[in-house]
Amino acid sequence: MTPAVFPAGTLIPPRQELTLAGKVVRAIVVLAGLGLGLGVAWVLRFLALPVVLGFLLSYVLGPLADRLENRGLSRSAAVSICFGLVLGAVALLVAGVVPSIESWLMEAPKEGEQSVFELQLERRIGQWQGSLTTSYPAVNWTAAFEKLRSLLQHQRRTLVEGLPAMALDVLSHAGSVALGFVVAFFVLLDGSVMKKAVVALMPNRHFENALLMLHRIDRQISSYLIGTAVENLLVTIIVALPLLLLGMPNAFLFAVLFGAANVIPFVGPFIGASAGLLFSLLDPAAPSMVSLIIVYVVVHLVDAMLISPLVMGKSLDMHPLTVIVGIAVGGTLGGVVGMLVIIPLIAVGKAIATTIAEGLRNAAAA
Amino acid sequence: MLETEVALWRPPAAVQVAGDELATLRAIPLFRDLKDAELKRLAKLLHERHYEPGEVVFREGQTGAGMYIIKQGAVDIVLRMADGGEQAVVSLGDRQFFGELALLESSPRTATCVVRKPSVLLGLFQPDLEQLLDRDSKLGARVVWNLARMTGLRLRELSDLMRARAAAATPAAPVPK
Repeated sequence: MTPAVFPAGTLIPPRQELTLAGKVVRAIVVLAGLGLGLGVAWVLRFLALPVVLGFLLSYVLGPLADRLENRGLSRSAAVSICFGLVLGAVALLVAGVVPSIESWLMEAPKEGEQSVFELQLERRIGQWQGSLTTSYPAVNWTAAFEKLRSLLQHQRRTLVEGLPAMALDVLSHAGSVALGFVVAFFVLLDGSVMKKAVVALMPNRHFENALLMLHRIDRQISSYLIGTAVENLLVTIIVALPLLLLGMPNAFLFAVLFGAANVIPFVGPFIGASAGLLFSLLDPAAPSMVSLIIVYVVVHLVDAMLISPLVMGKSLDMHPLTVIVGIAVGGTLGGVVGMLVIIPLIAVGKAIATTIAEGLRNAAAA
Repeated sequence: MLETEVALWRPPAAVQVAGDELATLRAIPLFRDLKDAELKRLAKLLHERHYEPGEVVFREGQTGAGMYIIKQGAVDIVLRMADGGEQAVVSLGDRQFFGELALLESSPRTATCVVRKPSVLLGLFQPDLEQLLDRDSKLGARVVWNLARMTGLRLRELSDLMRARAAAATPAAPVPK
């Protein structure tokens, strides 16, 4: 055995330390690359929604596709079956929710005429005014309710004027969602090849760390997303049952709203419950507000104490304060979408920081 | 520590000729008894990396992600000694492999691997093995089973080595008169 001997008389080449000038040049190159990347991302920002949606969907469907492939199916057949199931689930959801939305649209205000909803609201407001005037005659309720009516009238006008824009907005998002499905299909089909191609670009020096980092990011996101999907599906089912039993109109729609909003940690259940509670205020056919509050609180407790610990486990592995601050920042920067994507983004950042810190620690120890 | 004992496996003489990637994989004990179709599937998971002489594949203390198979070339496995010196414990060539214990655990590497001549290495890493177990559990289980067998064999060889060293270090007992 004749091992290579390096000039210093050692067998292991020393780590190449850059000079100050070299470090400055590298920092400039990195910053320029980062700037260029951000610029390209800004130009292509219209693709952000379908790409993010596509990746999220592929993470959720990935384990199912793997399981099917493990049963002897080809990858393409496994992915096609997954998409067939998703489209079936979407069709079921649409079949369940569309009638409710359709009836709402039929009742939506039109220029110059009052909808059923408006008439109900008017009647409810009249009842509240009468009840409050009887209970507290000293207060000038007429002025307060006039203000409320003028506010509602203004909102009505805004809604009527904004409906065409809203419809266009929904249509444009429908295109993004469809593109997201296409992205998800190809990521599921060739995701591992894509990842391999990305890793192949890394220099030998950083290759293993890059691979580990990608793997950690992958694991963090997939465990979080799968946990979230399962948890909120269970919450939707659990909240739908009592709403149906209580005779809540459009119970399925409100259950889906509660389950979907529940995706947002901490504030989600309040947002989801507020839709049903507001509806119960306005619709005389809805169950009492107290019974709905009890249902939402009980379901939330079951979720917080039973489902979440069981399903999510330690998948998030994040301090609650980090989650709260993250959601506040995400909400400020990107609204509801910001609140939804901030947690996976923090998880990605954490995986990158952990790998870099580990690399630096190991380099110092070696 | 066991990673450095890889020279214990020498490639079978019958496959010492130059061949394709499948022949390289067939020579690895980790993939023994696998059919060609399975080896092809496995080959898709491998990362081919090219190294120049003097390049470091990984350093002692660095977190290990997986194993390398030498498709072509030669590497030295070098240990840092307690006195600060370095010792090449083994040189490896075509169709030999190293670092396979990192497939089971992402622990720090216990030695440094330095490339001796232009080399092409095939890397199989923990995430890829996990993916294999998810997508083809039978094949994944066979690889893991072989890995477990090799680990056991290596442990036995290591204990034999230590026993031999201990026996050499112990002064011979005086013969009773």
